[in-house]
Amino acid sequence: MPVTKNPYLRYKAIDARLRNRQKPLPTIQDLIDACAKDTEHEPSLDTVVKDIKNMRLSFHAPIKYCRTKSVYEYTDEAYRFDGVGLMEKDIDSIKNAIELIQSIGSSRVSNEFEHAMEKVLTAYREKFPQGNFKRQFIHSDAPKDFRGFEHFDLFFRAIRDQIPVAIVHYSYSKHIFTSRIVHPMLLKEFNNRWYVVAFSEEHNQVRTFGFDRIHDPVLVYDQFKDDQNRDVLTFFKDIYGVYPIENQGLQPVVFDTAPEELAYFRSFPVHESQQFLHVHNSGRARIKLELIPSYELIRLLRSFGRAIRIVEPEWLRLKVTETITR
Amino acid sequence: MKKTIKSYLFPQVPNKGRSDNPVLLRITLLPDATKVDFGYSTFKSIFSNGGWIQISPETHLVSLTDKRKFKLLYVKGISMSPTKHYFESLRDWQYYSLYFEAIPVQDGVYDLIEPEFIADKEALKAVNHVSGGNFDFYGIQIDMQKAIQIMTT
Repeated sequence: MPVTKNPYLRYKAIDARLRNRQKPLPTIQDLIDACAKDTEHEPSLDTVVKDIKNMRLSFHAPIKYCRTKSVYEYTDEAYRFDGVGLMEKDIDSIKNAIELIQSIGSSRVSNEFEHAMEKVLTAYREKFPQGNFKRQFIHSDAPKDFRGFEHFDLFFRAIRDQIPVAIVHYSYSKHIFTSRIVHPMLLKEFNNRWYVVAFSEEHNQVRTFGFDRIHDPVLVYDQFKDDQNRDVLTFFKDIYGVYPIENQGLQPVVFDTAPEELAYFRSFPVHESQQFLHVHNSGRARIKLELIPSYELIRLLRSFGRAIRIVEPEWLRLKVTETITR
Repeated sequence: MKKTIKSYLFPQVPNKGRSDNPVLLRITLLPDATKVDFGYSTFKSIFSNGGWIQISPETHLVSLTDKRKFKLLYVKGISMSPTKHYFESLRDWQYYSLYFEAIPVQDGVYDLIEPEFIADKEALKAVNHVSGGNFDFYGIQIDMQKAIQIMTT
């Protein structure tokens, strides 16, 4: 945002002018002049009037307009517009964090974070990092506009405030739409895709729903139902991915890898349960996982092609092999 | 008629459609409109590319109690005829909503009727399509005991 359009800089100028004991009780023109001086751009009368209104609403600034004298003043001298005490080191940390978040991906979360930090930093007359870096030095593959991400804020609120949500869900595998009431418990990200883990009234159990399959979610007034017997965070600790294979519980998954894949598995363990049962001099290795097999695990194992060989369980070996040879 | 500023959702709406595609998913009674949500999947389409869908602007709700008609106001996610929404494959789908004049916030039974239009009649006879009658839904039951109030803020 250009400095001239940054409302927080004008708020700060208005605040300073209202506090000026040498020149108390400024008129609207005095406030316009103060903004022009601090931002090097003269705002319109309407802009400054709106700014004063926003300062009252967003910052609870006790600004009073005296109709008889046509001047403004603070009714509470103890009020501080910049009420957060920040050291230079704190400001640098915030700026670095903002730049990092901007680099990783411009999500709704980061936008809201930027907005909040903009208020804080402007109060300290710091120029806000705009993200238009001359040299971008972090790049991620986070997709920016994938279907359903617009639901993030709604589900975030639903979980925080325990509000049921009415959704329409489209099943990719069954090709059917269903209307459901769900009770969101957790937001889950996996491979840059977002999911909501929720108690489903229709299934009477906790289910995972991809954002991309959800249409038109609405918050509803209804009693929030939670599955008290299930710790969803613990549940996901036992899974690689999101969607477990039906009727499969926690079990060992053992596979052999080709030498060229050893470094990969050493560097990026598939799951926290991963352990090397044996490493041959050639670099061949036998790896064991202890988890609930998922569709995402099958997809991962399949991606290695013939460079890995499933040892157990047999059903998983057949499933992965069948998919590769098909 | 009692007018409300509250909005009510009916997540399950008993009705008799002519087919299971499109499926009537839910109904919302908004202060100024009645929103009816549908899902259409091309999975069973006879067209290799999934075909197309459209809705007649003459589509309406009719109360079975007093025969009062509630006109279609606007749509989201589907085209009004003669414009068509074309699909790309047999693995496509579309969620869409029809907004009608507000029906009373009370128990009632309605039919949703899409009149056939003459210009497309022959073509519609040739294909078993959404338009031309398949879109009719009969005996849509509004049971206020099953309504859930929507949060508007």
